[in-house]
Amino acid sequence: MIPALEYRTPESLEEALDLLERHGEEAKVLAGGHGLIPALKLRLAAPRVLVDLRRVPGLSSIEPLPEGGDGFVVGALVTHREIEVSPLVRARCPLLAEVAGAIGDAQVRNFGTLAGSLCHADPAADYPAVLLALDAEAVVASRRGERRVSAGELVQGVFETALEPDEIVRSVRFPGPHFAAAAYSKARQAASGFALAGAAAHLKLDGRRATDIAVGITGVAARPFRAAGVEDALRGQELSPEAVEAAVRGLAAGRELTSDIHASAEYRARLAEVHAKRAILRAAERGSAGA
Amino acid sequence: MPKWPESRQIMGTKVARLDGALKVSGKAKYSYDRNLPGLLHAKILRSPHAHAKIIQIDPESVKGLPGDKAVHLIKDAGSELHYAGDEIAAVAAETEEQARDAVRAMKVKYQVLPHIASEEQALKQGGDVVKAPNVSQGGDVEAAFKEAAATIEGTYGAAVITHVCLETHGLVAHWRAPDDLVLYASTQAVGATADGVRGHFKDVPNLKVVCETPYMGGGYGSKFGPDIQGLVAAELARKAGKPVKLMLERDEEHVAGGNRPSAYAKVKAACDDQGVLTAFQAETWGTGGNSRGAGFPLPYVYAPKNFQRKHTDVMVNAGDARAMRAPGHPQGSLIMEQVMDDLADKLGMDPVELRVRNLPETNRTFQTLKPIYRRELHLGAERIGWFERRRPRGHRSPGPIQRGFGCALGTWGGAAGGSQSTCKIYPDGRVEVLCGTQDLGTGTTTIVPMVAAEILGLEVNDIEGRIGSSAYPPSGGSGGSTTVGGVSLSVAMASRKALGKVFAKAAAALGVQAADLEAEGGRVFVRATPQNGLTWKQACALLGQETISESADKDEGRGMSDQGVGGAQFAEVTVDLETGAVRLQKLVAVADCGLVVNRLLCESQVYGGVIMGINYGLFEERRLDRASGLQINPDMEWYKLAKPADLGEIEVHLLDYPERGVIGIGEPPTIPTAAAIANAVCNAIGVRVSSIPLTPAKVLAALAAKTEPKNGQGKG
Repeated sequence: MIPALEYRTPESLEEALDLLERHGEEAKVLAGGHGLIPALKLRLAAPRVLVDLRRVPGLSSIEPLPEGGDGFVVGALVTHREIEVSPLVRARCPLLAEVAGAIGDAQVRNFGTLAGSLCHADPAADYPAVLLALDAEAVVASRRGERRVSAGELVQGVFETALEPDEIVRSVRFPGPHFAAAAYSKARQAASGFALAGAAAHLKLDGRRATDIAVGITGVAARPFRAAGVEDALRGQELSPEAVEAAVRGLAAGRELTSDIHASAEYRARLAEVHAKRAILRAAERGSAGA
Repeated sequence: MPKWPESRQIMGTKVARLDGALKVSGKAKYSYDRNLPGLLHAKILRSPHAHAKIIQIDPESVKGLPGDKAVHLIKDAGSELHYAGDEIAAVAAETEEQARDAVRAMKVKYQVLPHIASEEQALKQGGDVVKAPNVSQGGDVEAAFKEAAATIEGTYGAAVITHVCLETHGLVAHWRAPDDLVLYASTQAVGATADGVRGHFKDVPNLKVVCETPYMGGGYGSKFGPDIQGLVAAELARKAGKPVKLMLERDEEHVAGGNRPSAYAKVKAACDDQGVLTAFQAETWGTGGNSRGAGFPLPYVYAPKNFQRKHTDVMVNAGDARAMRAPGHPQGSLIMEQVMDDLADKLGMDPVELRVRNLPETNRTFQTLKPIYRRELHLGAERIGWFERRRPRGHRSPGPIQRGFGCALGTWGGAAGGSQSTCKIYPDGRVEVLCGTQDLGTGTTTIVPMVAAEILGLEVNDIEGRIGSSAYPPSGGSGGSTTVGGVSLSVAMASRKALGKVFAKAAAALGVQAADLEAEGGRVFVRATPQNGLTWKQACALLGQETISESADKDEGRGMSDQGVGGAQFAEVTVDLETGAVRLQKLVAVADCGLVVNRLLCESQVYGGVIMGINYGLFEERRLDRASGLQINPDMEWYKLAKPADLGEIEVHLLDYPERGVIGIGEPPTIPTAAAIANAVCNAIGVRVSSIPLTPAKVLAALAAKTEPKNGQGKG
């Protein structure tokens, strides 16, 4: 049961921001509800005011960036399913469509939103690996103005973000450029489908050589991270299975890893290596197939 | 001796569950669905501590809370609580939520005591929690080891799992009058449940108790009596003067509804150069909770001349074990069959061949199953592609995915259990068959009219079967796979006796002897001149005002059932060497159960048993928190069962032995599944994972512990 609260459905972003300014810490923003509603039921969150964004216009579309290129911006109410099937996303950044399709199940994908998932900051969420690998940014609005926060900066810890109580993520920006050599690989928790470990690889290829590489990791620690060691080891290199195998070894070393009923820290570390390797090799394969 | 009809029209065919449509449409009323006028809801206060003593308890503390109607204390101040979930008190209120709030509000002072949360901890601590070992032996193992051609040593084990009945334990108790109580209980024994509650209320003279269970959602051995919640619901209903529903929540079901004990073994075994098992030495242990044992049969199936076994029960602060689908046998098969595979590997012999060479001539309990096992092993091997596709243990293919094959055997009794039935035939041709048995989801509701229709020469739909009430002629609890045998026999014999009465009337009308008559195809006719006869309705009309009512006990059908079944299963798995993930690709189950009554339901039992076995082998484990002693996965999310996509392909083969009569099949098919999977995984990765469930992390750890692959071709 959810403890009694005040439920508000603002008709504009300004109205929503007003509510947040007024209620501060006592208010919570609701989009798809797939993180927040369970948290309310478990009484992990107990806001006094719930600000439901569903009637706010202008948050439900995926638009190309006005400055050109292959960048685009995803509104706060866009669902995983909409991303998964969006022709624009599939054409410009198949990796994002791929990760959206790997989330939970069809019901979850029909309701949950990208921005909501990011703000919920579940350490086992899939998106952060990809958002980090793509250098995506959250566009954050408040009565005080607007700012951009990188995905890696936004997620601070377990259910912890860099958002101020009066701020709303109005959209998520994917600046581009996006390459065909990209893949996401994950180990699913058997019941929920959440990532025990997930790895996203985004490569700029010159033949079999990676002229640039970004690898985002989620699920294994309180915060998602870029596997900088792996990136450094492989940047400028031929992506042979042996080279990748050697590069991913120990990628989580030195980090404090999650250990719980689903997987020990050691097992998560191993999964992170395996899925990083698989994501990189699959990305390379896709890149060379498309070349 | 009575016999089954030589040519059977209905028995052995596939008849869909008669209540299938009611179940899938939600019209079937389970205990959960009994919402009587004025119904109250009860909840049980359970120990929040793994081990504690109640210092003080104040039942008055919930009086006057919203909706509160009655309180019943299960334990008093001074009582010891043996596990987190141990019952303390119960409250009935107008709504479930109010009952839950009231239970939460109950003032109890505990003295927390030290607890034990694992077998290792108990063994380390010793004392009362480690029972005196049970030793059994025969022959001379030490001498046999000296002469052995191959000797292996290994550690094998299985975690505690719970029954996870889809319908939890519980009931609705309704006092229709001060001496008339009806229970709508989820139970495997309507008779024993009614008797148990009647025995509890000794203060009520001439108390009539009836238990009604027309439908129930699974028991697997955990639902044989009224249980604490049965007595508590009846007590609360009497105090409140209203019907009370008390169904366990999922977490209560996990912690207090019973479980299968753990089983661990250190084994040393040896065979001669022909692969014949010559010595078997095992030290075994396990826990059945805070007061129950963890025994299981070992050696299993095979009968080594020289054996020595020492078994130790250890106690932990957890809910007690209860019978669970073939109690002890899955553990016995798991350990024994891994040992057999390890011996075959050591000797370089095919594991199927090694098994064939060790099939016992005499089974300790039943007649020899040797020819049946041989048939089962050969059919199963053929169906899984054993001889063409299986590679020796530890063979490596390129890439991270390795394929493996394994097999295992099981055995069970399945004799006819106690059962009585009454067959009533009315002058209008209506037939009613009454039997105080119950349908756990196994299909007894369909079996009863099938058997009666076979004997009476009618269609299944012509028979009104009445089961699931203790008001009907007593039939035993459904355990030990004894229901189908007992019920088939008592129904057949009652029907045969009732038919005899019809024959007597028809014989007079047709001017022949009753012995000359036959009933088939909805007619009663003269065997020699089939055109000379009556329709069933015409024959029954001869009864006039009389209704036939004939009862029989299953013992009258002696010879129409048997006991002792074998069973062989073969598993094909793939294992990802990088992640440790095991995927069951295919499982072939070959089962025998004498005369098959309903092929569809029988196959369904085998599928169900296999699925439970897959869960046992790959997924299930009750996990206790070391620090608090609380179960950390008392739900169906973290206590994960297989989804359909996790199961792989399951292929079922029923061997027919109609000459043996009816034998139960509910338990045997779950016995060898986990063992076959464990052997397949070992075949795939070349190393033993020491205990089930075979989780990815355990598989990886086992691989990491290995130095170099024995038969490997270098890097995988």
